[in-house]
Amino acid sequence: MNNAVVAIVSQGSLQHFSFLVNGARYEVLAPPLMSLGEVLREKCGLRGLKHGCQQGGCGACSVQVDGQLVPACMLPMTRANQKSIETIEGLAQGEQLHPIQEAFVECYATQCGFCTAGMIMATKALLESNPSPSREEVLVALSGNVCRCTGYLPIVDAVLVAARNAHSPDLAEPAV
Amino acid sequence: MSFPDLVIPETVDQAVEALSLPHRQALIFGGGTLVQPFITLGTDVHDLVIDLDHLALDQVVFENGQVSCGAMVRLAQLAQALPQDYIQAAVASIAGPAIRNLATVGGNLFAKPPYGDLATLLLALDAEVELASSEGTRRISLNDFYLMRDNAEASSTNGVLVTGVRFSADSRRKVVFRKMARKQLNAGAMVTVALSLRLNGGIVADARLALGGVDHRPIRAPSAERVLTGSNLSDEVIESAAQAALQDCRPRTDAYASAWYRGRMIPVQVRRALNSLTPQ
Repeated sequence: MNNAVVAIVSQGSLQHFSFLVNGARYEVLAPPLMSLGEVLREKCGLRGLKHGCQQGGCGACSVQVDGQLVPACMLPMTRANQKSIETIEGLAQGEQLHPIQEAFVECYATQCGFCTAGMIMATKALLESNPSPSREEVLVALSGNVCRCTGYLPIVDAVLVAARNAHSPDLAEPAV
Repeated sequence: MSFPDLVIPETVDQAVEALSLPHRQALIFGGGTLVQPFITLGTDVHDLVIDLDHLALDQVVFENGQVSCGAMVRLAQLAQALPQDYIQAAVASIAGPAIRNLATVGGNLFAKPPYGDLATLLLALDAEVELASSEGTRRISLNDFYLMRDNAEASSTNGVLVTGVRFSADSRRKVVFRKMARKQLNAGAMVTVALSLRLNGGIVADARLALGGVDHRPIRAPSAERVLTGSNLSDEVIESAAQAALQDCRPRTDAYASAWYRGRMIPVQVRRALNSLTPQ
């Protein structure tokens, strides 16, 4: 083997990345170690996800990458290339809110709104793998998402209501 | 914003070579949960990031009671592959689901307290680490790996890459994992206890006790292990082992707990782990 191992990408140099966000293809130039969250917000203009701590502690930047929930602040662009990304912007159909968003509205599960996009993406990931979670399972699923306003109870209610609505939309009613 | 240089090796040999490049401060990028925040903040002092993503170190195999796990296996993936309640408990105690989708088994060995709960369990399971360096590959116990890092000149651990871990999931051993933290979910450890015992007719034939959050890295507690080995796990033995464990720790103060408080809690948590094995 030669001394040159593989190409070293020098700091600050931009690379071309291509990926899907909510089904739409994005082509961006970015440093390969810039976080996906930074790119989504600053280069793609998708500001639904929030930068809270930028160290994986708050969950406000949660998105799905190829269906898996991840904090967008933790994923460098080099790991996001050619992936399919889902963000909060992809949930509503025009003016029609997604059922999880409806449930959050119904249960007053949002106050300042900073955590909401991450909470809803974590809820979406939960309900995709477990459509009828128990309250305890909801707590586990949301344990990576911090809310400083609500005290969490209305958020947990909203997740349970969203799950119930998905099964029997006609019987939907807020949890007590 | 400035970033370190990046290399994405296609083989372990290339990764080892990149690690040993002269005049470079290389940083290994596994899941990224430990290092990406520092890269984003621009406070990291390394000037070369080695991304392990293309090395195919992401397989976990569980056969005949033996587990072989690549360094890049994600924590969530490990929990899906292995049903043992102590693996489930250790993984569930770490961060939240999104982080567990990224954080790797190999990376957890390098997580500084109050993190590194899986590494604490792996110490109690007497796991081996698979190492690659310019001299080839070898396997040593995780405990020896930590001792090597403690004792060696910093330069002698340069150029060494952890490529995987192996351990025995021997169903004849009693294994307990306990983590004491401020919250039930998603918090660093105040005291983590991982215990693996082999009992023979009520007598402890072999004891491995590992503690996390109580020193500069996850540690074994040999003083307590000596008390336990050959004993009958009576209340007196358990109390004595709990106190002995304290001698093996140098607890520190952090945002979760003071060194003093950790010192008070170490015997309590060791006692509770041992009591969970004996009918009350």
